[in-house]
Amino acid sequence: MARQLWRGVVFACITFCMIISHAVAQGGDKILIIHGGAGSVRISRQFLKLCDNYSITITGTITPAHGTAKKVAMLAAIRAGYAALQTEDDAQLAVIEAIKVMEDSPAFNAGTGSVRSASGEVEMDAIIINGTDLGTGAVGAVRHIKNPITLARLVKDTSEHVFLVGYQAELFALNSNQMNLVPTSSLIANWTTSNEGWTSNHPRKQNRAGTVGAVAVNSRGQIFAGTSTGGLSGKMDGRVGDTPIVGAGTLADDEIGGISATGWGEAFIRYRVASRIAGLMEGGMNASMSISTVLSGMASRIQDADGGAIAIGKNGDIGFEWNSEQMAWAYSKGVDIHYGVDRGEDINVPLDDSVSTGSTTTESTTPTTPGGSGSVGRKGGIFFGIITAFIVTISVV
Amino acid sequence: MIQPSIIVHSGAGYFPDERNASKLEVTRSAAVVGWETLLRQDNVLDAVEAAVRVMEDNVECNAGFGSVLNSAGDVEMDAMIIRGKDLSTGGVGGLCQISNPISVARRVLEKTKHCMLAGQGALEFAVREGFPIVSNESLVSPRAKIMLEGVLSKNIAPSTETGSCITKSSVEEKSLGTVGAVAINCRGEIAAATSTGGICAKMPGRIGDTPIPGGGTFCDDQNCGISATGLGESIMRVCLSSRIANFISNGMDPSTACLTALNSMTERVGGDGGAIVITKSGVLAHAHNSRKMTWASVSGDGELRSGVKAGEEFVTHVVVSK
Repeated sequence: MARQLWRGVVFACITFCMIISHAVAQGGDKILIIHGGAGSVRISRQFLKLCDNYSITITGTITPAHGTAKKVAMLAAIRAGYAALQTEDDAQLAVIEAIKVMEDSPAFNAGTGSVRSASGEVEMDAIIINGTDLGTGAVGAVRHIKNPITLARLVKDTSEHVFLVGYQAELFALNSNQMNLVPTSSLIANWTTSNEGWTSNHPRKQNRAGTVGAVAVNSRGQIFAGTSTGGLSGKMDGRVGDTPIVGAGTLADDEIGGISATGWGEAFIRYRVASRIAGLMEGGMNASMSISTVLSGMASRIQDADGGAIAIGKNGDIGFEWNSEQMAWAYSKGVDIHYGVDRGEDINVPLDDSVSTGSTTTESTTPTTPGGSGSVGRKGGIFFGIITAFIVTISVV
Repeated sequence: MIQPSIIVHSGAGYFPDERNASKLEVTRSAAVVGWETLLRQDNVLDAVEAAVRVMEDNVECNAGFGSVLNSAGDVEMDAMIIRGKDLSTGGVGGLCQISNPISVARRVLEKTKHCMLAGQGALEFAVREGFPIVSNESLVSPRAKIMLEGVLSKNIAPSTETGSCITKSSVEEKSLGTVGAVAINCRGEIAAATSTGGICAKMPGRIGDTPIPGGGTFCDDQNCGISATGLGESIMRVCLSSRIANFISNGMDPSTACLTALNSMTERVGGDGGAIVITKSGVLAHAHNSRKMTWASVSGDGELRSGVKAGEEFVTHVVVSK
């Protein structure tokens, strides 16, 4: 009788520990990572010659002033996104808020500040993906929308479709009564006027400012990924790039991770970059290595293809890699923000630092920037629970 | 040495048995035309384009003429063609008033640095390239009109389990189908092409899986060529043909790869469909988890195989016209 009572007590203890460990395991890391575009650098001789013919000087990098503007906006974006993640534990809100800040900033090739098409129009692509149910909303070649990422979300949440394009997507926006159309002139920033004259006859249009994107995971492991862009300068009207194409520039799946990419869109479409990165991550490779591997593969398969990507694995590991000269990136994990633009740059500031300057640490100049470490919360909790249960059983029975 | 081969489909979904014969006829004829083109020109892009054009021109198929209608009663088409050698891609989305969208898609591949043109921009490109504009009415079939009326009057959601619109009215047929073709030549060069009118009563501006590499169309000489059909939204969300291709490159036989990916898609996001495949070693395969998929293939010494229901395979020989 006493023995049975003891067994009952032991069982209760073990159950209690498992419940505790489960509760602890619920608290996974909340992570947000964003990018503000990868600039191209591998300019072929042929392309340079063409530029000479047009008396145009090309540099492979963005100007310092532009870089600073980007960093300031990236900080604002990461903070906006992080606030959503912290207070609401809402990965979708984090992605949208971060991207909206970058769309509204003229320093990025998205929303305001988008590059112009061949006819001088601003035509934008955007996408948002829910990693839990793969719910997706995407828009392509849309004009007159201030925040295409919000229109993408509207497609996902209020239509039975995944992808709407052109002026029909604008009609959809109008009919929703949730957004207004804006004139093209309001989306044009000063720096884009310097791209006048570029046409799609050029071998490859250099994209200096960059597509923007974000991937977030909440404490329950729910992942969202989003990307937004004005596309290629001088692109043909109606051209859709990799951004709104699932598996090309963006992907999210709670069982694998979330990815957002930037670069020469056509290469990312043809090489199905996001799908390939996801494939490697699914096979166990960490986010950083997966991105690097795929970017190298893309560059060897498709001439002059370059760009970058950000990713979060399902276990919380972070990756941000690029094979172009620069990629503006930032992430928040815990109470820290890290961000950078140039290779080897890693600026670390506390989240609540209201000043944009913080302690600057430069990492080693190896091209492979290390991704964040794995998430401790979930696995640690379960482990703790099992050990406790074991100890209790041993000591009691 | 690989046998030059071609496999085509004219859609996965459901239609009553009375339509089996006419669906088979157009699908076989497309396969034969593609086969003849392959033998004559040894160009896989030519072969798949020719096969798809046959189906676009035929009222039985949900592509080109005979396409289902969007909610405004217009024909709005998507198409894509991919060359597996260098992953060159050409696609159009939401293209109106053009008889053969697959040919415009091919022009995007060959004449532009882009992979996809959509909406008004796609039409403007087609016009610049000399494609004649046709009236919307010339692409609208009586069946498509009846189907749309059925959907709108019953207020039925356009997306359904069988991948096309289903009406509860007395409309006899329930689904038409996207069309596609995959071809391989003796050097192992592969091309894949897909063309569709989308789903009945779709919102204007809606693009489906067809012009999405890794979605409804896939092609890579290092792996395989695929054309898929089914509920576009589902196919896009799971990147269906990418999944099939991954299974194949990991050693799964192509038929099983298709079924596994399709069933997994149905389970995760709903919808069903089918796919046709040619692997880099020249193995042809087809599979569907919808009720029917009309397919036809020609390879070897001109053996024409075709079928509609799962497990069905008719075999005849092609008489190649000289």
